[in-house]
Amino acid sequence: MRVAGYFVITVSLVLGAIAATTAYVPPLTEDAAALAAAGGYAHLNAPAGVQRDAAGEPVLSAAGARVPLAPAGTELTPDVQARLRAAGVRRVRVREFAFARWQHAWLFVLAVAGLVAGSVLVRRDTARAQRSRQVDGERQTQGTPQAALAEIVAAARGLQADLAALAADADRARAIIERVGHVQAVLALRVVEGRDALVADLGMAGYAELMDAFSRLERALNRAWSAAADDVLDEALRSIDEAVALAPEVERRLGRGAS
Amino acid sequence: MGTFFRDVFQTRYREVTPSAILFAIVIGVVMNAAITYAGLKIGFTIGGSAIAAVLGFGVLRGVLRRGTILETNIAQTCASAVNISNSGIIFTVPVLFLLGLPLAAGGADFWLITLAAVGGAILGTAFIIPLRKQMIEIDRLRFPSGTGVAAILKSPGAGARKAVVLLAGIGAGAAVYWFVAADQLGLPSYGSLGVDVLTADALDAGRLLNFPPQLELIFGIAPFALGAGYITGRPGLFVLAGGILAYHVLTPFAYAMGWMPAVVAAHEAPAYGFSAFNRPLGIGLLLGGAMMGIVMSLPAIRAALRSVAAAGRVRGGGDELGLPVLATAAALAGVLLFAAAYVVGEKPFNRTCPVTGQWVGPVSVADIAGDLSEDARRAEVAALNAEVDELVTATRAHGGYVVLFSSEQAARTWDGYDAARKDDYLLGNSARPGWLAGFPPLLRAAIIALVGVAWIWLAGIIIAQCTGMTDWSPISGMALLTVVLVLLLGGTGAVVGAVLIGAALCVAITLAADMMTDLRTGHLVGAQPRRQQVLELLVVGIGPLVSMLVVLLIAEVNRQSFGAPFGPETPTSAPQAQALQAVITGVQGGEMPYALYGFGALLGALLGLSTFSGLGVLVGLSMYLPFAAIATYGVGCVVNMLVARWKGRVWAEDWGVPFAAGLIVGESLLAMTVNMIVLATG
Repeated sequence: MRVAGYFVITVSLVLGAIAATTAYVPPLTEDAAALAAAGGYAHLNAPAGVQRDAAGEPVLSAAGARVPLAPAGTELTPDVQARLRAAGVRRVRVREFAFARWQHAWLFVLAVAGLVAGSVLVRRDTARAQRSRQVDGERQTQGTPQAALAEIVAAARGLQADLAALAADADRARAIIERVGHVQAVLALRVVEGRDALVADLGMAGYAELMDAFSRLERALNRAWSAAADDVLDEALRSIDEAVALAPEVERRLGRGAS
Repeated sequence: MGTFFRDVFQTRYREVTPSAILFAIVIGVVMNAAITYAGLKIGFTIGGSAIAAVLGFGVLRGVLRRGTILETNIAQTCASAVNISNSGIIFTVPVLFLLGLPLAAGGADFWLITLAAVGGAILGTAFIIPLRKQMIEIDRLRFPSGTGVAAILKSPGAGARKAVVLLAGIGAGAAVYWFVAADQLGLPSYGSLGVDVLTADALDAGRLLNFPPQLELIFGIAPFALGAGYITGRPGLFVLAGGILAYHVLTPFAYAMGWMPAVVAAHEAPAYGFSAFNRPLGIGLLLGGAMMGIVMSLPAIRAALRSVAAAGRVRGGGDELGLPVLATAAALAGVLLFAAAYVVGEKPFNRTCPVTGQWVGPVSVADIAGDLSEDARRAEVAALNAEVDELVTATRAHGGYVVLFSSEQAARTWDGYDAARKDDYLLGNSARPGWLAGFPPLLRAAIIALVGVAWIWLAGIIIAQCTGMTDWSPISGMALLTVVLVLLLGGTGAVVGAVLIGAALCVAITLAADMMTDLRTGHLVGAQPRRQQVLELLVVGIGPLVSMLVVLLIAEVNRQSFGAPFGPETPTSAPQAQALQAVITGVQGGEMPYALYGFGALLGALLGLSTFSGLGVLVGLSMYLPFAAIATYGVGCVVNMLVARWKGRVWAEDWGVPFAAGLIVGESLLAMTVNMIVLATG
C-alpha cells in the first residue's frame, strides 16, 4: 500500500510539474481574443518563431544565434498572431497568466488530487504498520529506539559506577572514550533511526518532550567524551554525573518510570 | 549578570577564552575578504567552519599548545560567523553598481546598507536560536557540514587511525580539486587536459553516453559535494530525485513538445528551462514545502520554545539563551531595519530632473556616454557632480516616490502636470507604484520593516532546514523572492530599498544556517549552546562591514582598471548579482512568472502531507540548483548506502564520515588558499 502511495505521489508530482510548465505557454489558435489581456493583448516573454531565408534555413545573427520572428516584449495583436501562425508557431511564452488559456489546468488539478490521495495512502499504511508492530509486541524486543534509549541510560549509570572503581586517570579517560564512543556511534544512531516509531508511540508532542530530555543527557555524555579526550578528567567526571542525574527524566518521559 | 559572565567564561575546562575569540576574529576577517573576492568572481562562496576548525587546531592546540576540543569549537563558531555574511552581501549589493546606482564609502547608502546588513545578522542569529532544540535535538537534522566539523574536532581523541583517515580525506579532496582551482591561477586545469568530456570543473557524462544535448548529465568535480552527500546518506537521494525531475523530465519534455521558443537550440534547452520554469517552480516548491514543514512541526516547535523559555528562567541562564534576550536582540535589529528602510524610502528615486533633464543626483563614470578616455570621463563626472552640489533642489511626493527637481521652479512646473502625465513619467522610469504607495512614509517604512522581519524569520527557518537536511542553502532564491516582495510593496523604482532589505535578509539567513550548523557541531562535542550563542551574537556585526568594504574596494579598483565596477568586462563578474539584476528588470517590466511560484508552492506543500514533511523542500531545492552539483552530491549519498551495505552502518559512520569531512576540508582549504593568492596578486 505504501509503495502504491509513493508511486501515486511520484506520478502526480511529475504530471503536476509538467502541467505547471505550460501555464505561461498558451497555444496560438484562430481565436485571437484568447490572448487578450488588460489594455490589449498579452506580450511575449520570450522570442517566438524563427526567421528563415529563401531556402527555408534559419537566419543566423552575427553571433550565430537564430533570429526570431517576434522578439520578447512584442504585443500579440491579431496581426502578430496571424504572422506567427503562418510561420508554423504553435505556442508562445507570454508574460500574463490567465486560467482561461492554461490548457493543462485540468492535469494540474488531477495531480493535486493525486498528491492528496497518495499522501493519505502512505499515512494510513504507516499508521497500520505501527499498530501491527505494537500488537506483535515488537517494541519489547531489542533493537528498537526505546531499547536503545534504555541502553544509553544504563550505559551512563554503569560507566559512573565503574569509574569509581578505576584508580588511574588514564584508565578512567580511556573507559569514558570507549564507552561513550559506543553510545555515540551505535546507540544514538539507533534512536535517531527509530524516530517514526517513537512518534507513533508517544505522539509528536510526547516525542519532542522525550528528545528534549534525552538530548541534554546525550550532550552531557558528549562533553564527557571531549573532556576525556582533552585529558580534563574532572570535567569528564562531572559531565558523567550530570548525565546520570538527567536519566530519571528521560525514563519518565519514555513512560517507563524511574528505576 | 555576574553569574552569567562567570558561566560563559568559566575556566575549569577551556571553552570561551580570549585567545579563541581573537583567533576567530582575525581568521574570520581574512576568510571573509578572500571569499568575498572569490564569490564575486565565481558566483558562489564556501563556508568557513571546516577551515576554521582545522586552523583552530593548528593555532590553539599546535602553536599555543593548550587548546581543547570545545575551545576550537568556539573559535570555529565565531570565525565562521564573521566570514559567512559575505554571501549575503555579494549576492545583492553589486546589483546597485550593475544598475548604475553609485555607492561610495562616505555616502549614506553605503552605511545604510551596512547598518541593515548588521541588523539582519543579529536578526538571523536571534531568530534561529530558539529553534535549535526543534531542529537539532528533536527533528535531528543531520547538518552534514556540522557533523563533518565535529569529526574533525574529535579526531585527536578518536585515535591516530581516524586522524589518518581524516588527513587522507583532506589530501584526496585537495588533490582532486587542485585541477579545478588551478584555472584561477592560469595553470593547467581539467578543461585544458584535452579530454572532450571534461570541462574546467565537471565531467560531461551525457556527452560520453551520447545523450541528446537537451538532457544534461554532468557531474561537478567537487569533493565538497561528494563529502556532503556521503554524510547526508540515503535521505539526500530526494535531492537527486528533484534534479532528475527538472533536468531529465521537464526540460527534455518541454523541448520535445515545442514549449520552448524555436530560437532555443538543443544545447541551450537546460539553461532556458532553468530560468523559464525550473527555477520558479523549484523556489515555489521549496517555499510551500517549508511552510508545510513548519505546520507539521508545530508540536515540536512548541515543545522546543517551552524548553527554551524554561531554560531562560534558570538562575544564571541555564544552557540556552533565554527568549527575553533574543526578543530584545530581534527588536533592536528590527529598529535598525526600520530606520534604514525609512531613510532609504525618503531618498529621491530619480537622478535627472523630470522637467529640465538636468542631473540632480550623484553621477558615476558609467553614466558618461561617448568615446572618452578614462581621465576625461572622471573629469566630466567631477564637473557634473560639482554642478549637482551647487543646485538648490526641491522634492515632491508622487505615487509613493520622492521625486527630485533641479529647482523649485521646475518643481512648480511639475505641480502643474496632470496625474496621468506624472504617472507616465514614473512608468517611463520603471517606477510602478507599490502596494503601499498610498501610505504615509513612516507607516510604509514600518510595514516594510515588519514584513522584512517576518520574512527573515521564515526564510531563516527554510534555509536552516535545507542546510540541516542537505548542506545546500538556497540563498540566491530567497534573495530573489525578497527583492521581488520589497519591489511589490515599495514600488518597482525602490531598488535601493529592495537591495537594502535583500542584503539584510541574505545576511540573516546565511547567519541562521551557520549558527545552526555550528550548534550541531557543538551538540556533538558537548558544547554548552548558550556560550556559542552569546559569542556568535557578539561578533556577527563584524562580517557585513568587512564584506561591504571589500566590495567597495574591488568596485573602485575595477573602475580604475576596467572602466566598470563589476560585470563581464571585469575579472569579478558578480554572476549572482547579475541574476538578481535580471530579476529586478523583470519585475520592473512585469515579466515575473508569479503563477509558477504559486503552483510550485502548492505542489511543495502537498508533498509534505506524506510522512516526510521536508520532502517539498528537498525536491524544490534540487530543481533550482545546477545539476552538476546535485549529481555529485547524489553520488556521495549512493556511496554511503553502498558502504553501509558492504561494511555495516556503524563502519560507514565511524570511518566514512571522517574521510568525507576530509573531502570537505580539502576542497575548502585549497579554494581558500587559491583565493588568497589571487587576492594578493590581483
